[in-house]
Amino acid sequence: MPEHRHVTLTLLLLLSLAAGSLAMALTVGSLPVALSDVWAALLGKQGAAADIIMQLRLPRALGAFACGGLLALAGALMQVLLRNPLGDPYVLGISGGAAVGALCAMLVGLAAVWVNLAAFVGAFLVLLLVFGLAHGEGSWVQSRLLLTGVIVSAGCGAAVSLILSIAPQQSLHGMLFWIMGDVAYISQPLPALFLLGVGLLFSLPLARDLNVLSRGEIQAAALGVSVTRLRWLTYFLAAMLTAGAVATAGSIGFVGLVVPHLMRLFLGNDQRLLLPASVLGGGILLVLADTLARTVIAPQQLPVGVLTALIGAPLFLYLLTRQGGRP
Amino acid sequence: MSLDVRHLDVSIAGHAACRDLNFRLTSGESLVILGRNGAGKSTLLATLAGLHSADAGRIMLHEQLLFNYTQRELAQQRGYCAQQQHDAFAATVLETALIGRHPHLGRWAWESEQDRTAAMQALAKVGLDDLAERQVQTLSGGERQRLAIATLLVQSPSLYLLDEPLSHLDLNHAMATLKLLNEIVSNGQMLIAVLHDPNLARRHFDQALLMFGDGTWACGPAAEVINQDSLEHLYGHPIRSINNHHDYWFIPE
Repeated sequence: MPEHRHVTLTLLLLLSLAAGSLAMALTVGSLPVALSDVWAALLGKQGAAADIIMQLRLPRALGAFACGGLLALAGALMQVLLRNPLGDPYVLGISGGAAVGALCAMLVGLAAVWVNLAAFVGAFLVLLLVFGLAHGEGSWVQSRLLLTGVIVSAGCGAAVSLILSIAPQQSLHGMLFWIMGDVAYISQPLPALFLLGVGLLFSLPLARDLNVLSRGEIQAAALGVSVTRLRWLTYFLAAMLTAGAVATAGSIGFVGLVVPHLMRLFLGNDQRLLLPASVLGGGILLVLADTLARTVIAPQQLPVGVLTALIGAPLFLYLLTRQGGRP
Repeated sequence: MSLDVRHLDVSIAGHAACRDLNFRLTSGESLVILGRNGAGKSTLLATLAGLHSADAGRIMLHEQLLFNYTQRELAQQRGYCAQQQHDAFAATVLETALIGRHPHLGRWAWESEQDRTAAMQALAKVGLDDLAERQVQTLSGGERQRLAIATLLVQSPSLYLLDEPLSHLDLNHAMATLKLLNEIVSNGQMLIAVLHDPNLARRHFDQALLMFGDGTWACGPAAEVINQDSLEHLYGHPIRSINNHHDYWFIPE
């Protein structure tokens, strides 16, 4: 278990890396803006560069940061809950519901704001469906919850394919970008940032309980953790965080699985450090990935989900082999 | 300090583990539970730990009903060591032992230097202090078992409940563990353990509870309850009793 001072230092380091990644996202682009001009724009100075910063790059960067944080936090929570390092925020089928909602909205030609709203409604309906069907007595509940999630996910996948096959040619591109995950159309990052704050506020007080839960259900119960209550609370929290992320930016893959993993390889498995570190790490990864996504083959843009996988997979494999595969 | 069990009915999946069970344990006493596989020993132990609900009767810990404790209060008073430990994530031996401090720490508190010292002392008592930085997933079965006992020592409850604490242990570590458990009892704590060796049970425990598998049971001073007749009835196997130095040893025929 890391010492308190070590935790503070690590988080401060990650915070400064996060600030650095945001600064990079604001300065880099088809119109490079000097750091001093970025600072002036943030402080309220008007101008053409300031418009680009305040109306395009800042909401996009903050939105990307929030979504990365949400996905990584949800992933970290799911990994403890399932006691499986392969846990993923999409296990419960939330992203499938969001995809069906968003694609339906795109099919009838609604504006971006409505697409996000429809995605959140879809995600929330699936959440209600999965939790409603999985509700029951006894130790079966967890596997039933997961199975329900997997099946609902498969059903949503079929619905998504159906929508794609009947969609008119001109909306296909946008749909595919949405499915792969894209932060280009985030105009208002505040809901996602707010949800991220709420998520941290609820999960940090549970961190040591989750530490004990990761040692096994019986051990946790013997050490005074209300296992059933903690589980449901955490599942629901993870589901809400995932819903918030996919409603904002589509189903960006890899962040939720890989960031908690990376953090665990570097920092160990103490949730009191792992949860906030995952939030920062997820945010940093997505901000960097999005900055790359809009610059590597500019003026054309890539969906950020492709970049997260392209950066994440080799990095992760390298670390896994270097550390001797400690999960 | 006491554990008082009155008219306790415990069952698992419709099968009765014990009916109308009564016994009382006070400070500095130990009880051993013997019985065949599937007789419900572990279920009874989990019930006494407050982790399984009884069908009828009452369990009083320190003159207070068990279900009136909050889970945290209960975890400060009773420690429970299950038969097996599964480690899904990497952690060091020291970290695993420190988990025992959980019920004693406030929500925002971190393990202090004293907690670490206590954990190291507990590891030393089970002979694992040299392995403090080892990954728990690399331990052998016996080492993992001793670590579970060390975690229990770090928790420092007044009632110790252990399910087969000697499983996976080699002879010297089994004897060292029994000695450690005896020390705990002579310090005034209470101990209940499930065991499979009637000779060790008779020699190292004050009271014995035999569970016959059909809900019937026998309980009393270990030296009286554990005898040739009761063991033959308990295990359904002929037992030879050997008298040596005014003491009895039981070996299966």
